[in-house]
Amino acid sequence: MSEHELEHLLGAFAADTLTPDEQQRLYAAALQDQRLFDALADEQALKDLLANPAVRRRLLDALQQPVTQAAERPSPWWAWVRTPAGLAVTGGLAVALIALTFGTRIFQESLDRTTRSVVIEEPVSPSVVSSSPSSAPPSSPSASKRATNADVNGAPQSQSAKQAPSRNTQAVRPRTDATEQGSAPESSQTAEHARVSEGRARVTETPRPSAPAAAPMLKPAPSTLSESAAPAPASSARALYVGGVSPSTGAGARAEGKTGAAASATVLGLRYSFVMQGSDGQNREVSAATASRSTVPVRVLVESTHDGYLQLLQNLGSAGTRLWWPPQETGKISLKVVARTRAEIPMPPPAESGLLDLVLRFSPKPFGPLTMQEVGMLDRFSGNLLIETISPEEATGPQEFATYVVNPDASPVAQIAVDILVSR
Amino acid sequence: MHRDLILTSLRERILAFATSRVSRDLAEDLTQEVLVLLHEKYARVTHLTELVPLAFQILRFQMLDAHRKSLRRGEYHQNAIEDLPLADPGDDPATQLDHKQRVERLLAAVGQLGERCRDLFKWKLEGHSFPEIRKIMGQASINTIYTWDLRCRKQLLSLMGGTWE
Repeated sequence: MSEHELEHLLGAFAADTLTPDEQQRLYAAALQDQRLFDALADEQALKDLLANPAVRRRLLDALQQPVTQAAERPSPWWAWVRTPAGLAVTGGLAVALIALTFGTRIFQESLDRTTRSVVIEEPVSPSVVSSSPSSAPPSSPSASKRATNADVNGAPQSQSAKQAPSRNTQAVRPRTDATEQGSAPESSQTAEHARVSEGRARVTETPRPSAPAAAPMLKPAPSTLSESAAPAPASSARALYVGGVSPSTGAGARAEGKTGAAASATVLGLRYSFVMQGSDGQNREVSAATASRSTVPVRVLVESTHDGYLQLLQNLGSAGTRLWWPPQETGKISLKVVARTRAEIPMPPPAESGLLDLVLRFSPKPFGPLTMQEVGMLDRFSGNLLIETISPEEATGPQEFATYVVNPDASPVAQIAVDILVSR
Repeated sequence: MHRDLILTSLRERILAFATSRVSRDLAEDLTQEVLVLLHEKYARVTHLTELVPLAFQILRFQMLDAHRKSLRRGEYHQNAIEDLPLADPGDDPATQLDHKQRVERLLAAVGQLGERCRDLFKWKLEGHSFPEIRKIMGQASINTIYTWDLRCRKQLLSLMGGTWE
């Protein structure tokens, strides 16, 4: 045992249980080592205590007893949290919980965007029936011959609709479901969600009394607009776009086929289509489905009724929404367009999920920076949109593959934000 | 080792230790008094294993005595000598209280020791040496007992507040 290790004998020094050999080595070392000597001198106080037989006896009695209750008492279950491992596990669980909460919310939002369900519009509801006769659709033949259940390509599924270009007036669905429609009157403008069924829509030829069972689904949430002069859901968005007169100003003012009506236009309208170059080198409009399958570059052709500003946003699912057009390099957040002038926008590549979900925004006034909250409220900016997809049904009809979007709200702050879901 | 040689070494160590605790002058006085006692009163004690622990004991008593003297003389508080009681050859109430509190602290600290430390301490108080404790605990190496005891002693000292006093 080295001199340094002789410190181990200090315990026996106080208890006076050193063997003669240990005593000899310890004391000899203490005379040579001041530190060991000091330690022994300090230990003398304990040695004096233990030298007292009464104290020794009390200590022995205390040691004979079992461990004190405090030492034996098991720690409460939450004491485990105080340990380093407990803290780590607790912290990890907290982080996982937060991530799960926000992750679920973000996933739900992305799911809500990517799975915009198609609304199949049943025969008009009683409310529509009551309002439709006063705002009868244009007397054009196309209005009375609407295609039913047209597919994404605009292919007719009803033989009776072949007399005119099929007009797939797409349902403008309230955002709230049937259970929420009861509270819709309180916030009519915001409660309605202009959900667009891009390809499929069933439109009745003329308003007719429908079965009561179908009424709740179709009944739009009452709104200020509908209370005053509700536009008929069956109104032709194309007619309004071309005529440029708001249904609230009188249906008789419409003049379908009349061009250059921007001067008298009060409705905000937008026309968009997908354009690709054919084998003959000519540009031609195609359906969204065709555009999605196309291997050649596809462009989005946009035209508006008013001078204004245009944005094309792309919904990237969980990654959020990005501004696709105008490009970031331009430093602008919106594209200035002139009324009745077509602007070409290249179509962005699909998101990682394979879906191509676009949001086309148009406003007569410049856009401000778009926050994430505003992205989720784009539909509310639009109010009640009338959307109509035109596809060529016959060689004699208009050879166009286009979608007309009209905001019948004559408010100066009216905007258009239309969701374009292009499947890939 | 010869007694004179032991005393010479002891003087050096005692002086160094006392100087670390009290003033230099007082440390020299203490050392001198310890050596005088060892030389005159315990002249028969010559063996190292008896002389050194005796020196520790005398040194401690002398230091406590010096502390009491300083208190009595008012060196700490400068009280009037008329206000102080006459000296009692036995332990004064303050010393008795200090002793009692020290025992209480030691009992409380021992009660908080672990099972092994309690056993070690118990066997030491029962008079068992380290080799005997090694056999009782069934350990092959005495160094294991040394290490355990060192750790237990440090734990006990910590529970006592860092000092045996």
